[in-house]
This record gives sequence, structure tokens and C-alpha cells, in this order.
Amino acid sequence: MLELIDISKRFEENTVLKAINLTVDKGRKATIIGPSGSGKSTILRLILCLIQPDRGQLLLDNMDITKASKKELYEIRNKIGLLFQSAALFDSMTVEENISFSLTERPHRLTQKEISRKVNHALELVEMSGQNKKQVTDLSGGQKKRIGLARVIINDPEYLLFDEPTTGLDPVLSTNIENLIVNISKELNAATLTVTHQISTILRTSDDIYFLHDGQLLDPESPNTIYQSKSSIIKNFMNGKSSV
Amino acid sequence: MLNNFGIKVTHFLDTLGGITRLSKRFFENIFSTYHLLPKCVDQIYSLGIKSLLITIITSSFIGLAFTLQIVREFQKFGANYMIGGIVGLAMWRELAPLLTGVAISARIGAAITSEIGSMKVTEQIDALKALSQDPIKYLVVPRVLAVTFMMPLLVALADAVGFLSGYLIAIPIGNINPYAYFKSATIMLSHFDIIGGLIKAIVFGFLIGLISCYKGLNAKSGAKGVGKATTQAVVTNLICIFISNYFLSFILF
Repeated sequence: MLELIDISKRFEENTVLKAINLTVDKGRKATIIGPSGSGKSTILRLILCLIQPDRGQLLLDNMDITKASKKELYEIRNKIGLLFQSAALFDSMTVEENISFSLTERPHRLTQKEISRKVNHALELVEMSGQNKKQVTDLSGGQKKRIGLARVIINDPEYLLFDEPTTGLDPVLSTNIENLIVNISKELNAATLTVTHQISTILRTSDDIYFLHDGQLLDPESPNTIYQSKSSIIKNFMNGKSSV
Repeated sequence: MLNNFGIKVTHFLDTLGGITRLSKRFFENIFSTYHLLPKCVDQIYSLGIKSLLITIITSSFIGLAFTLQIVREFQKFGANYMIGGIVGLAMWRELAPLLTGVAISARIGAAITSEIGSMKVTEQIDALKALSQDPIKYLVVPRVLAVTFMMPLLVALADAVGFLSGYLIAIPIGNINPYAYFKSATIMLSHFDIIGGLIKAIVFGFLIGLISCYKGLNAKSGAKGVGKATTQAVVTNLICIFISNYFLSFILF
């Protein structure tokens, strides 16, 4: 279970998050929505401890990861898979090297043959079989996202984080990625947290939808209730209207 | 104006503190980096071996120009027989380490900063951390070691090329006996003149590697940020090389 308790974060004079509380159980898919620059991606960075909160607790399986040692942190990060908005693939490497990175860059009991098998399985899941030797610089935006996803799932993470997974993709590719997110979350039974402002992604990949407004999360909605939300802020956002 | 000066001093101290912290982390991680040797070999090839040409060109023309300048002056005093020693002394103690440092700072230092800076602004550094890798172990340690290892080898090459280039011009212009060129070098120079130059090279290599990595890791977002970081890395490298060269010359010779 992933729990954020009273998490606050400020950058210089700008308080981005004010006492955020959020729980995502294993097998559940939560989505945080909100306007650009509202601090959605900051929440994902906090969960991976890429940045530290100013206040609050961040629990992963009841362990406060903000107090984890460097060694513990590396173990914790092995349980988490984050798909970056830009995919953040290592552009000096091939597709295979990118996907197998976390297996080849630390002491591991897997043989080269087993690693290759895992890479091929991950490529199969993201429908990119046979692309092993391609340089990532030769891939399109959608292909990069899929390879990023393959790199995330090769470790069988217990927590899946997606940062704007479908932004900048055409509707067909978006649907493709959304289906992959749903299928992979189900296969891994992972606690999934997606950050996005793409309506289709919100509706297709979420069990619980949280709106981040003025540094705080509003009460959760479901894909069925979000258009009838009592909050005018959420309703306006979903209908593409300004709340100001 | 005073405020501006204060900001610059704070920025300088901040950079100094950052580089010191990075050097501490470098030494902490030097023995715990996974697959260190293959990573270093990759870096030695991509950073060091590809710098051979620039080193040869720089040192040969410095040797030629320096000898050309002194050979005519020495002729006036009938001191031609000392030219080999003087060229060797200048090249081995000062010119080869210093100018190789400048060339490598421009070529390797800029390459390291722009590569790491690009990784920073495209979230690849964050991706490394997300995949449980320490960027210091994965990026900084192999690069700093590779430059520190390659610099003395490149300076040794520059020593030889510069000295022999001086020979090529001293013989026809200065009417020197070829034997006297080498003989004067063996008389005037000691082994420590070469070793001292190589010690300088190790220090310069370490500084170039460390400063360039630091600037790359602290690049601000966008292509402009990477460009600015690269310029800052080269400028800082050059300043540090010239300052440390003076103190090393004072201590070593």
C-alpha cells in the first residue's frame, strides 16, 4: 500500500503541495488530475525520493521512505516503476540495453539468457517485439513511451507511477498506451498512480480520480461520477472551462 | 554593484562547496562502483584515445614555435648547444602539461559537461536514480578516473612530440649538431622534470573530470542551460588549471 500523509512541499516562496493525503492499495489505479504546473509530477518525484518533502510521511508497505537510508532507498526504488513524461530513455543505448539496464547494472543472479528472455517478454507486452537492437534515437515518441514502459515492468514493480503517459500522442497511440497501463497494472497487481490531464487517459485508466487544486487534493471521484461531480472546479476542468 | 559582487561571491563559494562535496562522493564511491573497469575502458577510449590527434597537433606546433623563438636569440650569445635542454625543460615542466590541459579541457571537459548536462535536462539522471543507480557511481567515477588516467599519458606523448618538433626546427635554423641537442637535454634535465610534469597532468586530469561532471550535473533546463554549463565548465577548468599550475610548479620544481 502507498500512503501519503500530510505531505507538504515548497520551492523557494512557492508552496506547491499543502498537507496532501492519499492512499493507493495494491491492485487499485489512482489518477491525479489538475492544471499544468499544479504540482502533480512533484508528487511522483516525492514518492521516488528524487526530492524530499518539507513535512509529512510517505509510507510504502508501512515503511516511511523519507527516513530511509541510501541503501534502503535503492531497495525501495526497485519496487517502484516510473514512466517519465519524456520516457527518459538512455539515448546512447539500444532498446535492449535500456530495458535490461536495471538487471545488468547491479549484481544479479540472472544469466544473460534469462535477461534476454525477460527483455523479450517485456517487449512482447508492449507490442514491440524484434526491436531489441534498434537505437532509441531512431524511435518515434509513441515507441519511446512503450520502451519506457517495458523498462519499468521488467523488474515486476509493486508500484507503478505514470507521468503524463499519453501527452503528445495521437488518439490511436494514446488508446494503445492506456490499454497497456490497464493490462500491466492488472498483471502485476500493482498500486498504480497516474498523473495526467488527458481526459481519455483519466477515464480509461482510473479507479479513483483526485483533483489537485491549490496544493490540495479534492475528494476522489470515479470515472462514472466525475462529470457529475459536486465540485464546480472538477466539472469545469473536465469540460475544458476555466475555474477563475 | 555591491549586491552584484555579493551574488557572484556567493555563487563562487557555492560552486566550490559543490565541487568539494562531489570529490568527497567520488572517493567514497571509487571502490564500490559496479563494473568499474569496463566503464572506465569505454571512457578512456571515447575521451582519451580520440584526443591523441589534438594532443599531437598542439604539442608539435608549440614545440616548433617555441624553438623558433629561442633559437635565434641563443645564436646571438653562442648558446646554441643549450637549446635541446631549454626546449626539454620548457616542454616537460610547463608547456606540455599546461597546453595539453587546455586542449583536453576544451575537448574532453566540454564533451563531459554537455553529455551529462543533456542527460540532466532530459530526465535521464532522474531515470538512473529511479532505476536504483547512483549517478555518481555510474557517470562521475568512470569519467573522472578515465581523464585522470589519460592525462599523464597524453602529456607524456606531448613531451615527446614537442621535444622532437623542437629538434626538427633547431637543426636546420640553429645549425646545431643533432647530438648536441639531445646531449644538452640529458645534462640539463633530471628524471624529476618529466615526473613533475606528469604529476601536474594527474592533478589537471582530476580537476577537468570533476569540474566538468559537476557542471553537467548542475545544468539548468533547456539547450541554453546545457550550453551555459559547458561554457562555464571550460572557463572554470582553465582558471583552475592555470592557478594550480603555478602552485604545483612552486612545490614541485
